[in-house]
Amino acid sequence: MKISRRSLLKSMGISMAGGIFINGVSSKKAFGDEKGMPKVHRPILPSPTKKRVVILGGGYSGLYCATTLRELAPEAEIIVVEKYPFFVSGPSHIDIVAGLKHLDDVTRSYDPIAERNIRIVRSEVIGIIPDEKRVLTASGDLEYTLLVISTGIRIADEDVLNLIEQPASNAHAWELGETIEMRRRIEAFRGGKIVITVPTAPFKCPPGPYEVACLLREYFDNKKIKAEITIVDANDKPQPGPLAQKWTGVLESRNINYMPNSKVIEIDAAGRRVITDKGEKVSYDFVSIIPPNKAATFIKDAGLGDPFMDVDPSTFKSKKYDNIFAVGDCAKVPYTKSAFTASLQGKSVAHQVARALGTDVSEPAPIYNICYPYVSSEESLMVRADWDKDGKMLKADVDDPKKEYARSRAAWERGLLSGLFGT
Amino acid sequence: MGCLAHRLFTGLITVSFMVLCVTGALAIRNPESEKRVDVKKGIVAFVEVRSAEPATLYIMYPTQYSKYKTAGSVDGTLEFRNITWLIYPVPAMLEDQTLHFVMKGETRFDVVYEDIQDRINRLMKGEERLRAGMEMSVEAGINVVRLTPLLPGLKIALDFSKDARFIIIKTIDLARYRKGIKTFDQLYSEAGLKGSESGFNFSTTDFEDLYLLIETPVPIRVKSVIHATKESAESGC
Repeated sequence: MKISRRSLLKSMGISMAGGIFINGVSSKKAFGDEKGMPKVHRPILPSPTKKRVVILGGGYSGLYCATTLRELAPEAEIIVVEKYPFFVSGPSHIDIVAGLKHLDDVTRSYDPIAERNIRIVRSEVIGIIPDEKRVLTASGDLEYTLLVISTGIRIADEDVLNLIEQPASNAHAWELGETIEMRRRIEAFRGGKIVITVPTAPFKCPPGPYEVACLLREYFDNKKIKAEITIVDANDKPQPGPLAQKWTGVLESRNINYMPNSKVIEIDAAGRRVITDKGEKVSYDFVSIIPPNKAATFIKDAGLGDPFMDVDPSTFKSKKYDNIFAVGDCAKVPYTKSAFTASLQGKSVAHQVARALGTDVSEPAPIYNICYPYVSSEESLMVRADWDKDGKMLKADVDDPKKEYARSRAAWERGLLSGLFGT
Repeated sequence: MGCLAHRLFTGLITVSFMVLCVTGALAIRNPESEKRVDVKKGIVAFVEVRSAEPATLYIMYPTQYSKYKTAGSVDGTLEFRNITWLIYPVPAMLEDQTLHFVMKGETRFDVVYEDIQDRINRLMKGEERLRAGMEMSVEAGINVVRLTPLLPGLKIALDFSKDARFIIIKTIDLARYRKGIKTFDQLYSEAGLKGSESGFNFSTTDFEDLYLLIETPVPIRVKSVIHATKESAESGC
């Protein structure tokens, strides 16, 4: 079910305002206790009367976990906690930035999920108290029997000097609100220097920054707007590493400047420049800093891992708590941080959770990744990697840009969406 | 070749060369030289560059190398300055890889190859394997050396040619230092990883980049050697 842009933006405004409030106050400060525990417990729901699985995060991994678990364990109570009132397909952030898609195209209501007897709680997670089997949210507490954390990545603005103080200076495609803002700025851009900065791996959607650069080159060329595009990369080569040689050729052919091994450590918004760890000052008219990607702070606060949650890659189970699992971008697993592996991880962890509930289920399918990074709106690369059940890479393949891969990309994302929402 | 072969490699394959030494190493006598390294899919090449005097090294992919040859441009290439020793891994996970190494200075150049799957298996069984290394000259004063790329569970050994005061800090503290918000002494008092000696060993706990800030009254050489472990392999080595 699609929802209108008008209602979407209206609800998003409410959601983002709530997000700013929550993000502006740490969980410890919000609750005023040195251990980060609330003084007043206000339950969202009564204590569970049957086995309750709480899934934190309604992205691809969380939703595929919920819907798969619904089939494997029909009796379980399943709750998904999600801060946004709607679902937006992550891979399409790049399409939105480049003007290839509108938000409406890749936005879905959570209603079809709720219709499968999965309760959607709209709230922001503030903390976890593993010893009490309790989640703290902005709306109140939630008890669980088993917990699955699938909250994706957190953008660590605090790791770039002055970025928190000057958030309006930046826009990127790694968060929804930022994506919309970046598109707005691109439409307003009339020429000059564009700087895209890449954090040290691992980060979500490793080909993403280079895809954005390529699509912006095409967009501005078509608009006959003169844009000097520079990628300032903290890594020694374009990511993911195995695609480096292909990316280097692609960037060269599109006259996109590339600065490897240059990590942006500071933004000087007044001077319109970023400063690297080598002391280089790179001036810009439009900047897209992708800050380091980390898991939500409540994972670290709960002692579950830092910067990502520590899990066994074969079971996704916490190394500290038998009743807590983590999948997708927030988990420390060897799988690529992509929507496709997140979906498969969600399905896989559902099997592990069902087993933990006492259900006899089959062995989950191994994880693999396939994706089609854009080099233009009409051509994509192809990359595929397969892992065994313990997370060891078994085989991998890559292919040059082709038009058929751009079509495959569209089908690939439609498949991910239809698997959850039917459309 | 020397210590590198003894520590790590299962085989030695050299690329085209100018002078073949009795050890199997390549000695490049020209002050400027180039080497091409081809790596087949499924193999990781470990390139070792040695120099008696500080040298500059550029690492280029084929399209960058073409630009270098036609226009002399090294824009976009990976540059190492003032190095006297470097171990640079070139993994070919998904397809064949080709890199060109352009050295400014008198250098020795070696390449050895390792099967990626075999390497992962060895790591998973608990072996520790050399992953990367670098030695460079630094001037008197306070110098910054980036230790990267890092994964949880890597073992890092630092070795200095003379005693020096040093700290190991995260990126945001480097930014504060560069900005003058914090001094070396302030960071030294706060740092968990620090010392005043000629070496230091530690293990990484996460993916964050680390920087070595080293204070020395005289020019010295700073060497870092990074070993992969089972834990780092599980993180995506």
